[in-house]
Amino acid sequence: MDNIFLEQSDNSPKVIMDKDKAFIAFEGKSYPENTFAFYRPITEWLKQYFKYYNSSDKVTVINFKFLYFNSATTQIIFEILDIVEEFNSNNRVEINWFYNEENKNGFEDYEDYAEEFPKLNIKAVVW
Amino acid sequence: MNNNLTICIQVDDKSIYEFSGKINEQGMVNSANHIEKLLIENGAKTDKIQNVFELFIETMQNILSYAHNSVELQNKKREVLCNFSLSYFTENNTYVLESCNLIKNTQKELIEQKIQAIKDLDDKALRKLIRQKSRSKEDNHDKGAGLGYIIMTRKSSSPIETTFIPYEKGVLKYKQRLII
Repeated sequence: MDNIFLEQSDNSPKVIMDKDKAFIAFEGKSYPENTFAFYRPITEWLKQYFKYYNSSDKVTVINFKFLYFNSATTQIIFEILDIVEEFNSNNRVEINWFYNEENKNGFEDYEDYAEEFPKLNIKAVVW
Repeated sequence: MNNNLTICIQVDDKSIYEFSGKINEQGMVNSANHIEKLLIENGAKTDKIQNVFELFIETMQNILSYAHNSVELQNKKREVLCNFSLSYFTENNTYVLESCNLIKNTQKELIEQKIQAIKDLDDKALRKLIRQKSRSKEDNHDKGAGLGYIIMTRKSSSPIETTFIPYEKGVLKYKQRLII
């Protein structure tokens, strides 16, 4: 399985999915026209990663640092967290939700994800 | 058709951005970036900018996906004839996003039902509904779980206003007004 590195565009985020460093990150705006098609390889990669590459001696870090995102991305974030919850058997994962302190929506989004996935212990990080 | 559609939205001196014509993904991105820049220059707060930006995107992606005259280009990208305007009202620091496009008349009832079902929900209930719909996979398809109107309702400061105007047989002009 190859790592995934995607450059940020005007409407899609920078994506880093590095199995060697156990590091996953999304950063920027996310509203591609075909959002589900954009994220399909990413969700498939995550399933494979947690099945075959996630070792107990490493903590996988996942950073969400979205500036703006559309409703389809909202749904994809739930799907990603569902995958982490279902496939991450050793529970060695650190999930960081970055938000702008001046933006109450960002923190409310964090609250919704944290409440929906209490076992994942998602952290809110001011940027 | 074009002449009727282009006068769909009244543009006045409150308008800070307006568009009329064919739009595709790149056009939407350009407009979104322009709107973001205008709001920053206007001194809008971060959460206001985010709400306007995201509701513009929801509106445009709804239009690209569901408009009667939406045309598929290469790679499942779409292009559609529509118009929209963004106005700013200093007295209450609100932005008004109006849009107009054509829909099949069979969509009218569906839109009205969706808006009716959520219009009296408070913020807490809307957030809960977003979570439920996102995880239940009910109502799920290539275009999403039908979260668009819920997010529009949540991020607007007043109920979504809609108008349906007969256009030609089986087709309506759909006007939508969001106050943010």
